[in-house]
Amino acid sequence: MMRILLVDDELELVSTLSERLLLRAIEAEWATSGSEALQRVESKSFDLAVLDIKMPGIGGFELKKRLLEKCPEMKFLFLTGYGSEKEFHEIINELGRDSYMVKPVDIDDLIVKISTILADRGKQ
Amino acid sequence: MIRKAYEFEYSGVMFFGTMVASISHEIKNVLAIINENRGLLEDLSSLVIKGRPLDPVKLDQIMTRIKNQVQRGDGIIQKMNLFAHSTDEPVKEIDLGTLLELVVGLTIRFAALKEHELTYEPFGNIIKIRTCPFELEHLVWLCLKFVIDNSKDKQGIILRADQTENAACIRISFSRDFIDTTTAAAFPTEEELILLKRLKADLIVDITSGVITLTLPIKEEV
Repeated sequence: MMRILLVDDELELVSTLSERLLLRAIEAEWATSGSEALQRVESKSFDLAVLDIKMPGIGGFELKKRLLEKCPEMKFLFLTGYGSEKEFHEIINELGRDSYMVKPVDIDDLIVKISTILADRGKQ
Repeated sequence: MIRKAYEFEYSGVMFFGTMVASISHEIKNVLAIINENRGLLEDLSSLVIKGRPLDPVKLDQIMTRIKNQVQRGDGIIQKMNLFAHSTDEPVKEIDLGTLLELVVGLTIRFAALKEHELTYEPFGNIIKIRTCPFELEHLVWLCLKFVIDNSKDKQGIILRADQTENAACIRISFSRDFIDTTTAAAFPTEEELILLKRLKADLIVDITSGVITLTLPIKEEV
């Protein structure tokens, strides 16, 4: 069973999304800050983290770097609102064209994206 | 001269764009939460069809979340609307408290992203001044942005106003050891100086005391 970590400062977003993923037999935990996410990975391993980009404190890109230090095998998917072109290019450079989604997301599309990213990991 | 004038005028456009982009981000989050709760209702409905009973407490929770987010979204749109209408007239009489509340509302997200706490402390009486609302919002925002961008972690920033017979004072208070003197020397820049001139305002930046004071005429025409 895949294990997903959702990180967004909007509590009601991550908690509801987590609940919906669990209804689809996908184990999902959530955190509302970068520091909380880093604490979560101390006690549990996750296959993939879904990260908001703009969060108070540790932002999405910085959090990715810190999570990789603890969990080198972890994969990532960024969630974003419509940002600037500069931000868009930063995302593309960070992870490539297929590793972000724009809010609000369709949960079925999210699951397909997560599965694709993890399947690509299996091929590497 | 023409280029400088253009750059200054464009800074106002950039301020407007920055605020609208921030508001759109907030609205996106509201829509995302409403969407997820709508989806959860859909999921639970599907389970009812398959024979799993629906918990009325759960249903109530989801409805309340949706209601709260709609109210939140409405508040954000109201803020956007007030901001947009501040450009209606180049000069008008305004309630300074209402303007400052709006600027704090527009800036709070920027402060939160750097983990600073920004609050507005209302003055007891209504302070009326005749000014250019949009340019005053721009100037106050630039002052707040200076504090936000140059502060160490978890700064507490307080915005308040008071008045004398002829002047209104806007004060931004912060922790005095937040900034290095090199950065402080760079403020106000030409952008702020032009706004100060147009608003007939004075600015005092006192890093030692942790206060920025903006003084505006009450009775003078801008």
